[in-house]
Amino acid sequence: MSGIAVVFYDGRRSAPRRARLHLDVTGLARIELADGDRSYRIAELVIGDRVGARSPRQIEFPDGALAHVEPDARSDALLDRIAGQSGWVRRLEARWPQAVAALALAILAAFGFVRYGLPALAAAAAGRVPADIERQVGERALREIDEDWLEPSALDRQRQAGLRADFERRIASRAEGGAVRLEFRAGGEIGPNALALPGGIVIMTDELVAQAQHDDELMMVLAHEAGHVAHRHTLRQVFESLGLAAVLTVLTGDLSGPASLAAALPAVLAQAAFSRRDEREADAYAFGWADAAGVPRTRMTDLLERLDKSTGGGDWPTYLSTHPSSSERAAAARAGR
Amino acid sequence: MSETIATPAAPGAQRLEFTGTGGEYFRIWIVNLALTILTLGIYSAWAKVRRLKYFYGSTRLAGHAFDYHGNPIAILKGRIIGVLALLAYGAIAQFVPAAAAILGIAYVVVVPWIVTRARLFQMRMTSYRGVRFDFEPDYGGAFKTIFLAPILVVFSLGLAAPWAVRLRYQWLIDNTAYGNTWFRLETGLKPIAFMLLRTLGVAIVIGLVAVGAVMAMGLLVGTVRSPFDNAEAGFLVFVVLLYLPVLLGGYVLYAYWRRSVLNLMLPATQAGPVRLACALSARRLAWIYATNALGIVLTLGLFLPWAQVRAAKYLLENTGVSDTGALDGFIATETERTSAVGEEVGELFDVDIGL
Repeated sequence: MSGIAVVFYDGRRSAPRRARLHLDVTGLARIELADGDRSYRIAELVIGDRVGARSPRQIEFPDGALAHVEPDARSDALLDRIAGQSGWVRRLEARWPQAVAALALAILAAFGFVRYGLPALAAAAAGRVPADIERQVGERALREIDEDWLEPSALDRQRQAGLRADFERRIASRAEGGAVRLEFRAGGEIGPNALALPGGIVIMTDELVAQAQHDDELMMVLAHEAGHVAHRHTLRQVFESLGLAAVLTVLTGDLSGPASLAAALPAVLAQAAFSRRDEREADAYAFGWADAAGVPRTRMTDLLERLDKSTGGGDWPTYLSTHPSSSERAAAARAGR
Repeated sequence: MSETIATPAAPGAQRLEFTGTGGEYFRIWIVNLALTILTLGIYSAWAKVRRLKYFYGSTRLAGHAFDYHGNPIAILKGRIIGVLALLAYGAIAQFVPAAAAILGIAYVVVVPWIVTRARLFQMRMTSYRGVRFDFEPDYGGAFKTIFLAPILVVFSLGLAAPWAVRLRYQWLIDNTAYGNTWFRLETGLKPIAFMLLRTLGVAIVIGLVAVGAVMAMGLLVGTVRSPFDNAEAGFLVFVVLLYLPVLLGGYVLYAYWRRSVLNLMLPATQAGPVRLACALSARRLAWIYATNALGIVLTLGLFLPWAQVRAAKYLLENTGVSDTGALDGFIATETERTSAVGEEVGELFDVDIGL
C-alpha cells in the first residue's frame, strides 16, 4: 500500500507539511514525514466525514495533530472502512434525487404535524393546565383588555341583571368544562362583540346588546362563547402557536428580516385555520345548546347578518380570516334542522 | 493531486477562497432537515456540525481550509439546556407576572454571559492549519458593549456613538487569539465618526427616496384599485406594495453600513505579522442582500441555501490577509474544553455580538 496523501499539521505550529498516511493491518497508523515517522494506533484516530465535494476530510490525532485528506474516492473508501463508517449521509447529500426525496419528506412531515399532530398535542396540553393557573391567566388577560380596549359598561343595572340571570340559568348551569361568568363592558374600538377568556370569563359589549332584537340572539352568542370555554380554545391556541413557532425554528433555523417574515406566512395561515376550526366548534356547541333549549338556530345568524350589514364588511378571503364567513355559518345553522 | 493546497510560490497579500456552491449546500441543508424531522429534532446538533464543517471546509486561505471541531453531543446537551431555559422563562413570564423584575435583573446578568460563552465556543472550535483560535472571556466588556454603551450614546445625544462602535469591535477582536498570538484592533475615533456621519447621510437620502417611492406606489395603487371588488383585498396589496420600497431601502442601508464597518475594522486589525484586509462594495452587497430576500420570499424559503452561499462567498472572497508568507510562523497554545451551553442558549434567545 502506498498510503494516502495528506497535509499534516502537527498542532504546535501553523506550518503545514505534505505527508503520507499508511494504515496497516496490525492496527497502526504511520505518518511518513521528511524528518522521521510518527506512529499512532488507528483506534485512537478521530476520522471525520467529508462534507462537500471540495472540502478536505479531517483526521485528528491523539497528540493534537491534524491531517487533511483532499477529495479522492479511493481515500474516502479506505477511510470509511478503517473508521467503520458507511458514509451514507455523505452519499445522500451528494445527489439530487435523494435531495428531492428529502424535500418531499420534510414538506409532508411538517404539513402532517401541523395538520394532525399539533392540534392533538395542544388539546392534551390545554387539558392539563391546572384550573387555578388558567383562572389567573384569564384574570390577567381581562385586566389587560380593560386597560387597552374596553370601558365600564353603560348598560342599565336592571338590564344587566336580567341578562345575567338568563345566562346563568340557561347556559352557565349546563356549561361543560368548568364555571363560566359573564362580564359587561362598553366595546369602544372593538364595537359589537363577545369574547371568551381562559378560566371561563365571557365578555359581552353594550354595542352587541344594542344590536340584538331578541334576547335569544344574545343567548346564542353567549352559548358560542361558552363553547370556546368548554373546549379551552384560548389555551389550546397558545400551545398551538408555541408549537408552530417551534416547527418554524426547526425548519428555517437562523433567518432574519424579510426572510423570516416570508417563512412566517405559512404559520399565519395555519393559525388562521386553527382559529376558524375553533369558531366552527363553538358554533356547533351553540347550535347544540339551541336545539336542546328549543331556540331556533337562526337567532345567531340573524344577529350576524345584521352586524355584517351595519359594519358594511366584505368578506376577507377565507384563508386569511380568523372566522368562517357569515354565509358558511348560516349554511351550518340550516344544515342542522 | 492537490495542486489546490500548494502554498503559493510568491507569498503576499491574498484573499480567502470559498469553494462552496448553492446547489451543493441545498442538498446538505435539505438532507439535514429531513433527518432532523425524522429524529424529532435530535439530529439538529449533527446537522449544525455538518453545516459548519461545510462552510469552514469550503473556506481556504493560501490553499488551506479552516476546520470546525464542534462536537454534536456537546451541542445537543447545550440545546436541551437552552430549550429548558426557554420554556422556564416563557412559563415564568406567562404565569408569574410578579417575577418580571427578577427576570429583568437576570437578563442583565445572563445576556453578557451568554454572548461571551457563545463567542468562546465558536473561537475554540475553529482552527486553521491545526492551530486553534481562542477567546478571552471578557464578561465585563460584553456588559459594557450591550448595556452601558447604548445608554451613553442616548445620553450624549449620539456623541458617544464612535466610542460605542469601537468598544464593540475591540471586544470582539482584541479578545480573540490565533494560537498564542492576539489580534489587535487599532483605529482612532475619527474615522469611525466620519463613517457614522456618512452612513447617516446615506440613511437620509434613502429615507427620502423611499418616501417618494411609497407616495408613487400609493398613487399607482389608488388608480389600479378598481379590479379588487372588496376593500380589504385592495388594502392588502397596498400594504405589500408600500412595504417594498421600505424593505429595499433597509437593505441598501444595511449593506452600506456593513461594508463600511468591515472595510474599516478588518484592515485595522493585526495578528502578529499578519494584517487583515477587506474591500467590499456597498452596491454589490446591497444587490446580494436584496435579491437573496426576494429569492427566499418567492420560493417560500427554498432559495435559502443559495442565498447563504452567495453572501458568504462574496464576504469571504473580498476578505484576506496582507502576507501569506507569515502564516507559517504561528504557535499553538493548550486550549481547554468548553461547553456549548452559552452558544446554544444564545441561539435560542437570539442574542449575539458578531462581526
